[in-house]
Amino acid sequence: MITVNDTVLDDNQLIFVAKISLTSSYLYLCNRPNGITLSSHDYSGQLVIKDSMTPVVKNTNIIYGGGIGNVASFSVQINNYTGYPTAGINPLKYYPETAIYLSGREVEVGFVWEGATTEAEITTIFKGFIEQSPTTPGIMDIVAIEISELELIQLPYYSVQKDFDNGISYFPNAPKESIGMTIPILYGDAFNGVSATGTPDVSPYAPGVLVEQNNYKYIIASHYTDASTAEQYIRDYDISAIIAAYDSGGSSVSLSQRDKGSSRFNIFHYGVGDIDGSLNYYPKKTGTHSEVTDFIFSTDGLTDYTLIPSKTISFIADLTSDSIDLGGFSSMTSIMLKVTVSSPTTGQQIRIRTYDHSTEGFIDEHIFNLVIEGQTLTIDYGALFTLTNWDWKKLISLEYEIKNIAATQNVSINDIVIWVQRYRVQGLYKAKYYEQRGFPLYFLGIPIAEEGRYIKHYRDVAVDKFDYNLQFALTGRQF
Amino acid sequence: MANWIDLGTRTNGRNAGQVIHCPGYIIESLLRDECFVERDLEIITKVSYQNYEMAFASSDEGYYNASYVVNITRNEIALVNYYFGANLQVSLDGAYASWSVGDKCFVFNIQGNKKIDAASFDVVGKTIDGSRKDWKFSKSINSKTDAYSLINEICYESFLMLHSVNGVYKLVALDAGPAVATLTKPLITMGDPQIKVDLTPLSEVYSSFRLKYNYNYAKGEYLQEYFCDKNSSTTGATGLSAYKTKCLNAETNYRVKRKFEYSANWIYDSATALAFIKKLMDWLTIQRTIINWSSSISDSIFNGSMLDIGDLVKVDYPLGKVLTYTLVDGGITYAVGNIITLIQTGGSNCTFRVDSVDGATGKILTMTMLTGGQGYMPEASLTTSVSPDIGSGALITVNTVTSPTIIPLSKNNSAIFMIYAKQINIRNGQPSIDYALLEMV
Repeated sequence: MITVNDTVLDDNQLIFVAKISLTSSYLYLCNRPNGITLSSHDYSGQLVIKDSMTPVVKNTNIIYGGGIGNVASFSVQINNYTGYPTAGINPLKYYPETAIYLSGREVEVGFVWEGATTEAEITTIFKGFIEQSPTTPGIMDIVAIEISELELIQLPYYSVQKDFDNGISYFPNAPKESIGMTIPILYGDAFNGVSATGTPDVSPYAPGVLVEQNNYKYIIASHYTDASTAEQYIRDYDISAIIAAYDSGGSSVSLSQRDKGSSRFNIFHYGVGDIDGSLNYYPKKTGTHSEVTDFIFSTDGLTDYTLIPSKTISFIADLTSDSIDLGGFSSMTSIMLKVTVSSPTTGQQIRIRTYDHSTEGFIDEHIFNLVIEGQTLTIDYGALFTLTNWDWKKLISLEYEIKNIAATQNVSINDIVIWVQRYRVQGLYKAKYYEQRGFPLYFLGIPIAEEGRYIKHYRDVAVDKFDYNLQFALTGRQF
Repeated sequence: MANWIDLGTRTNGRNAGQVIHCPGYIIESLLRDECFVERDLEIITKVSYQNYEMAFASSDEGYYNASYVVNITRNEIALVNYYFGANLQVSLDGAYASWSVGDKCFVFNIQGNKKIDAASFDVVGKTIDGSRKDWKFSKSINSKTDAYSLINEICYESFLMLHSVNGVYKLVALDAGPAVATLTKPLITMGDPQIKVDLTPLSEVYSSFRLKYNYNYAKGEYLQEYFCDKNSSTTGATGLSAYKTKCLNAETNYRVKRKFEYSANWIYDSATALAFIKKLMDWLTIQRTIINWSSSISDSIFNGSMLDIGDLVKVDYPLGKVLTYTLVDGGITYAVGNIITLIQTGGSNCTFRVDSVDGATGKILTMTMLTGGQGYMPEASLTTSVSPDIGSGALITVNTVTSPTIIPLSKNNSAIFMIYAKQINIRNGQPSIDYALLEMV
């Protein structure tokens, strides 16, 4: 509701007034021929063409739901000849030496009742700016609209550029593909991501823009955020990995750089000795030993899969992307198979075996008694095999077999996941790399390293373009 | 980071340093932090530790009062205590000794405290009872668009309406609630009440709903969805099953079989998504009443305030031109409708003259009994005919208008309408105001 500033009388006693801002004064108008004086300002009725004040229209469109209201408009016609005190107004643009241009000047419209004496009694019904003032020799039409500033502002404001150092969007070392890319504005949470037990993503991560080609620095927002970690989405597997950084001593290093003007993530920046990721891989391909197939995609931590007595399920990892490299790192602390069961009862047992297709034999066997609701059965392959000799190819050649060996009781399996605690982020994008083996990488122009193996020293990997497959877990703008 | 959320007398349960989730406050932040902004500034003159001059756009005295200066170079934020327009000089809320000539700066919340009706935003977002207090939005705005489209999308996904009242932004939730007034007196022109009743378009009634949400940038897809039609609804979605009846009713009542599918870019939270799809189904499974209501200016003012867009009202007025009178004839009072139900014995085709009608002063019309004992029909034209057969030369005088309750405009007089458009007609001696009202659900 709009507070009415005057004592309410009959409608036939209403007087509408308009005030137009000029350079250093105002033009005062009203719709009564005799005018009215308010706070010593004479609101002229003589200047106004009779009944030329148009309705003040304002509307919103909520028929279909929420939205923004449209702008209001108003116009009035005034006599345009020099006999009236028009305060020097000359809207004709062909008299620039004397003109006071009206476009953009503020217009206020309101009403009072007869008897009002002060401007404080005006109830304002419109505030806008003159859009145009078409004029004939006798009449000047003043057309005003509410300013539609929201339509004139483009957001986000900042784009990556190397022309002008404004402290926020200036990145002289940005790759050419990033120049002109929008620096985001971020609201809300974007941090739940992948949990250690394999809970799927439940909130969006935030994309970033690569702004330092040499050291993989990304900008996430043009304002302060509460940053936490980065995530690498590996499209081939449809899984996400948490990216973490460690210094040369193995201690965790923050990747984020936040200030009042922006939030950046500094991947591979100075002081970082190691960039690792951790990920959860869900079964996507059944193994040759599996007696059923319908457990795929249902053992995802959200719903239970019922494994009936004596039945066996099995799967293989099928991880074959270039994007990650699990081979032979000292930083890779563990790779585990985790099976979580729901509501076990006494006597239930699960057998988990691992079959190596390269040797055509089982390499281990474990029998678990199920006793605790939500019990997670864990096999630590990092402990079973010597880490430094661990080979990624061995992992993907394994078949993981799970059998309900109880005589009569079903087992509800809630979650099956291969958890890679730490793997070396070789390249943030699908870059080729070669093992150096103490020789020059190339000899007579011919690559002599073995593709697909770990190289001890990082190479700068060209990034083709901004890609969403590197995302960042953080919370957005704060009050 | 700024504490406009705690300014003045605001009591909203939100505090500086908290992440902004609530859609209402995201809109407020976009206005204050992104729209009311001057960027790419640089300190030109360091007058003192507290006073700095930059190439500000406005030279109006006090224009930047209560705005915030971010010194990007120093990574600090300062509140502007006062702005000396003639010198383009800000006086900050304290001494900032390290600030120097050439420091990169920008200013936000310019005029924000004047241009935002903070109370209306708190009605929507305050933690205790805000109408959208538990709604959580999240998005990385990573492609350029105009602020209007951006905010419009947030409003749509939260059933909020942003509009400006004389340059001040006000936020309103599209919900039913207590009415601030009951409309009972429309403008009467030539004896006709200036009312038009309509319904929302049938093309906007749907019988099946699917909402996708939780957009993942890496995958380029929405990870979750809710669904409901007359047969089924998403398993485990609290209360959604009850909405199957609404879908069924949409098909039964309107004969529509139409799917409404929407992908929400701002919603990632399941509880928020559920609230949104329920609101959508409340909104789009029925045709709702629209009323165009004209009144005098004075009749649009209640308790010293004039009705405006976003206000909730009730309407209490009969539909159509049907009038009910209390007749007085020789001391006998008769209650009649447009068909006079006064039962008379005697002949047919009798007429009588109405000498006066309260509320339609000066009208004189002729009533005709077509069939004896079955009432009198009004003729279309006015006349001064006498009444030969209703008693011996008797005249009936209609002298009061009783409470008209034939077809109430508002269902059971309890429906809540929101004003969504208005037009103030400026005419000498005959000003009026037209409102458009939409029934809330």
